[in-house]
Amino acid sequence: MQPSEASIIHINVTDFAAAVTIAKNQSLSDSVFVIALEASNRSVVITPSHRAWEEGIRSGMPLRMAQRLLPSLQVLPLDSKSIAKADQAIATIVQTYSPQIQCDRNGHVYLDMHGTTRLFGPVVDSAVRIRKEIAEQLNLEASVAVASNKLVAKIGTRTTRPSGLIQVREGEEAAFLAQQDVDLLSGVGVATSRLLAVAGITQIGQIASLDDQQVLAFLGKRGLALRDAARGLDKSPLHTGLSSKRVIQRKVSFATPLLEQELLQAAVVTATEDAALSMRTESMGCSKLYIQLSYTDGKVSEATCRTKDQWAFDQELVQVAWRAAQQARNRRVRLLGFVLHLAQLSPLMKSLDLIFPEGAQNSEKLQQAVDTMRKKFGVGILTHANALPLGPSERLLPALQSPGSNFLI
Amino acid sequence: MSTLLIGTSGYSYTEWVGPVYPKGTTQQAFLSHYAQLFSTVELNFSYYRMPEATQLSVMHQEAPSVQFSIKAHQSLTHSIETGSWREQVRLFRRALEPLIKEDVLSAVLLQFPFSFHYEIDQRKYLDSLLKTLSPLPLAVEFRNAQWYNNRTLDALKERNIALASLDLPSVKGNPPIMDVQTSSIAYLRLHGRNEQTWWGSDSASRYDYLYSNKELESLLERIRWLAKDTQKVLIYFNNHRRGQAVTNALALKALAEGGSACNLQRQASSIST
Repeated sequence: MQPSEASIIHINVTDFAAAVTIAKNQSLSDSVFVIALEASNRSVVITPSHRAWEEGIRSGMPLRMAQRLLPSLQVLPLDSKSIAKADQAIATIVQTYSPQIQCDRNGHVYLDMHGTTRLFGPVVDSAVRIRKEIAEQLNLEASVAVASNKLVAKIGTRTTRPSGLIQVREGEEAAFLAQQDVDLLSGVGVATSRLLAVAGITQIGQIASLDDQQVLAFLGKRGLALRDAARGLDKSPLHTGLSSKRVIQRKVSFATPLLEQELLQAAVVTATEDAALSMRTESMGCSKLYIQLSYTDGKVSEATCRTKDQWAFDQELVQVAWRAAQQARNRRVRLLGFVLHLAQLSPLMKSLDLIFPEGAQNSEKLQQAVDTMRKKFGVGILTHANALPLGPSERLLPALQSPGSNFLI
Repeated sequence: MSTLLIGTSGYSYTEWVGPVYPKGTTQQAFLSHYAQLFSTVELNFSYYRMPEATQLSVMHQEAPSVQFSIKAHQSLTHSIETGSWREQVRLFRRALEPLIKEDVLSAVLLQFPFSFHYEIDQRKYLDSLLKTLSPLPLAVEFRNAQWYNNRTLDALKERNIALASLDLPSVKGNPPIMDVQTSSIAYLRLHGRNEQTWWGSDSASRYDYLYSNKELESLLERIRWLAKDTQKVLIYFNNHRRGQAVTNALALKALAEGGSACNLQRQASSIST
């Protein structure tokens, strides 16, 4: 038999915000607490501590519900500065092992160790050393997995959380996934999991065994991607560089320079919806939005909005984008266009359903329904009403369907 | 604070006379010599032949300082007969009494073959077997990758049973390497990393491997992590060919005690050549 060495490492510091808080203050290690933005009325649990998790508190749970379940629950604020520092420190550690790294923030890092065996020995040994360095230098426990691709490595760390080790050999991905619970698969949220359970599907291998026709009939077009994932197939490359420095960008150039507020708003909304859909498709959220307006006289103006929380849904992002655009627009000169960035990306704080939208909150349900429609019929099929002054959405479709491209209005 | 116990899988190898045991050592004296080197051993003969209480009692008398882990008889793991396995458990348990009485039984290892699939009948059997052997300290080793899933881990945690961690060659057909604490003891079996001879050769060649110092350092990190929330970590080297398991076990002991594996491996290398 030929030896086969999988080379992707996934590092996953479970419940990152809580882990960083404990790393700073060891006396909290046995406390039942959550990290949340208490000031907000609609506040949700960003991260529970391990003890809170054992009590049934989960990320994304409305804070009020968590407090009802556990009246003694401590609520601590999000320490964004320390979290960013910890992410940076992890990146610094892993950079000594491979130049090919994808830092997704919130304690998620992928490394491609291909070709490093002569230097560092077997990949699994490197994974063990990285875990040790993170523990010793940062006081953070990580689960580490070695696999042939990101998808399987991520399921590996989810299986062995909070701090285990697993190596899945190349060619054995499907066998490893076969008996795992379906909700370990990205894209299977509460609703999909429930629907699959009704059909008697509780393990990933059961999805993997469906043929194309069965998938299409049962799960629709998006189901094919889910079925491939269940088979451990994932060719997505590493997005190298720090995710905090990655941006999802949309550039809009107006065919005719414009002055009208409504037309600008329509363009901003459309570009934001498009960028946000790309972001959610990568299972990411953002905490920074930047806009730069270009004027006919060659000058530019810009504005940035930030949150300590995470933006993921159109409803919030569209409002923020328009607020930023209004802040930036400080001159009465015709506009040539604008650039929009969604930045400081981080993994979505809760697992969204890839196929069947249903969630605890209406906004989430609505967003997932909209995304499903857009993925099926194109991004222009559904939009906010204030994007309509642009005219028939068909004009936008060809450009909008290739994320990251520029498009002309 | 967790206790690390390091030893080898088996001790009764005639080819160790010379490399490990002094020349002229008789088979009856192997264990007492072994006890001068290590404080634990994994007994493997019990897989091939149902052990007896008197036999294990004598072994304890020969090596009173040694903690024993014992591999379950094949009738409980490989050639299970529906009608008779409970009787086999009874015989096996009865044999363990002297070790239990003297408090020198560290663990019972249940090693299941590749053919033991994650299917309903096997799961039911495993559940019954674990219940029947309870409350003995148990470790389970699966050779089929299907068992390495979140349900198995949850089930083992609920029952306080260790999932045996493995180190073995990275070749197709082997189970994944997985370290997860599922009980108050951790159990690590080190089979060597001989990729060339793992399949299609005899068992002696399969375990013909000497871990390098760098590999031992990495293994020690795995062990330290396993020790974090457990009371005891049992570590057994199974790369027994030419006494290499002893070389590595001694080096790992030195490393764990804060010494350098390098010197010890160099000193001991003569015994494995």
